[in-house]
Amino acid sequence: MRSYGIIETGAEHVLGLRLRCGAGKWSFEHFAAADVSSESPLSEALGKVYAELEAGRCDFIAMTGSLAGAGCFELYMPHLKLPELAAALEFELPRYLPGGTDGVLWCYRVLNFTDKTAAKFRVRVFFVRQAEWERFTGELERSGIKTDGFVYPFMAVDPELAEVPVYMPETDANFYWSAPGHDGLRQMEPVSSCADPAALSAAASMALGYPADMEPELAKRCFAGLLAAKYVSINGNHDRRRGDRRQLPLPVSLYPQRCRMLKRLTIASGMAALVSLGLWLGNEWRDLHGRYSVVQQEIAAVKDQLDKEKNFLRQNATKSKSVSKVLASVPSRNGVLQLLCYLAPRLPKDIAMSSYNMQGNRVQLTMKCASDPENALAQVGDSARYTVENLRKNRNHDGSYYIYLVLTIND
Amino acid sequence: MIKRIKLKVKKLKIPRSVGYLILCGFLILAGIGVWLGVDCWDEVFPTEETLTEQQHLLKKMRQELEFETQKRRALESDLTRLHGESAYFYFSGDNRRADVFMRQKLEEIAKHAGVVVKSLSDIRKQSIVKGICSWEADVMVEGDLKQTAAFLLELSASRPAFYWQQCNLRPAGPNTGDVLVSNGTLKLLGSDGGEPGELAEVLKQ
Repeated sequence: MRSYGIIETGAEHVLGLRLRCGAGKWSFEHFAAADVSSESPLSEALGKVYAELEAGRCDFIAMTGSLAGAGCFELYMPHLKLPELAAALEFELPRYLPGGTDGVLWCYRVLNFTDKTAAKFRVRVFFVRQAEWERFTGELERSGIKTDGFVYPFMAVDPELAEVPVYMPETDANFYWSAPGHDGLRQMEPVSSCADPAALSAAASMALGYPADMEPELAKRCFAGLLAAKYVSINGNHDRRRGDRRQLPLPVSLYPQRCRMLKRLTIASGMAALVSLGLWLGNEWRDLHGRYSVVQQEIAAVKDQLDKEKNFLRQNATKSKSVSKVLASVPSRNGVLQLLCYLAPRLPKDIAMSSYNMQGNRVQLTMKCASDPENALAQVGDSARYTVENLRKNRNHDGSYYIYLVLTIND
Repeated sequence: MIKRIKLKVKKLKIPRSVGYLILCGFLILAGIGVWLGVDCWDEVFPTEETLTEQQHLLKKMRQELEFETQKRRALESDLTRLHGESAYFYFSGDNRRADVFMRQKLEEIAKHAGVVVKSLSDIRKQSIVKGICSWEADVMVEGDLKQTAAFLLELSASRPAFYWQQCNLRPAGPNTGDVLVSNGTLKLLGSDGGEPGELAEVLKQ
């Protein structure tokens, strides 16, 4: 359901309608009216109606009504893209407007835009003097109301009253909108050429139809408003696009700012999210870059130290070889005595050494024991200085034992 | 006048070849810029992968450093050991020949310990590295346990020291009581006063 606020300006009064439309069904909500006089100018009346109507809460607010020196006419144009069509109309209009397009504002509507079978575009042009338009928008600005756009009632006649001649004395007392002629175009005809203009008006009002909950008299009075409401319900959002001449330009300050808080909140949230994202990314980068820098510094320090070590070893490579060679040829200085001192307390008392043979760091010992040494030899290998390579014993006929021990002296 | 202006404008036109050259130059500069940018990208905007790679590299370098440090320490330890050991080396500072000194010293120690020198071979000289030699002699002595112990003790305590390259202790015979025969190869290490080698500064002279 969308709600529409329609404000119709006339020479003597301002009318306001609030309607609601959902699934093609219209319902009437509120009506407001205010007189225009020297005491109560148009801007004041507009403000009153706008306030009473609570139009600010509507989904779409449209202005309609009469403008001095405004008019409509129709013409055929070739199938063109919209910007090109606007340019072509710009070129064509001076032929239709006696005074040319200087000082005149205009907009257009393509009536058969969706009809792909049509050979040409049927274009309806609305024009108004710039001075009049500026006076009107000035009144709107002074009244403090907001609006999504202006719909000239004769522009909104189709498709609701496609075949019906329309006379709206409130909008233009001197002319009526004829039914499409043999060329398919409507023409603004002088009222004097019509036998019964009131009948035309009544017939159009009957043909339009109105919400069921609306008084017929009120519907008749608000004929232009109802036309505009039906028009904007179909074309409103489309016509709100500016820049392609399908709507007269309104000052930006007149456009309603709906959901302003929500928009601001969204923008603020977006900015906050962006800032947060930036901070988070910055923090991540700083953390990562910090750790990376630390690792780089450590790599540089280790590399420096490694270079020093390598240089030292490179410079002393020959010396290292020589030292190793010399040390390899230096046997243990007092190895014999040390080993004997080491073994003496670890061997049984009744043992006698029969052979001691040392070759470099390897020592072979042959000992004779009067009795079985059993576990008495277990202590022989308890020093880190000596490694027992082999230890075995042989029993002799007389009950004595030969013990064979092979040791390595560790440097 | 118009012709002149046209001519001037024509003169200002950049020839196509120069245009290509400028374009090539610009492309080369852009390429260098991109290459530099790509090269430095990891440093300016490192990723976790880059960081992990660098950490692995650091770990590897530390392991290498540890290995190299151990090698240096081992070398320093060897130098210290050699320096200490060189206190027992022979240096021909007193103008005596090493072989003569060795023979005299051995006989002197044997006499002092009370062992009998059964045999003493010729002294064999061998160069180990530049500036350091060894002198070896095969020796056989005989004495009781006490004399042999004194002989061994004095050999190890003498300066310069005698090293047993090979040593064999055994009883003189089955019925000879506690008489021991000691034979083996004794070694003397040191410098013969020749040209000093790279270890000259390490040796304690």
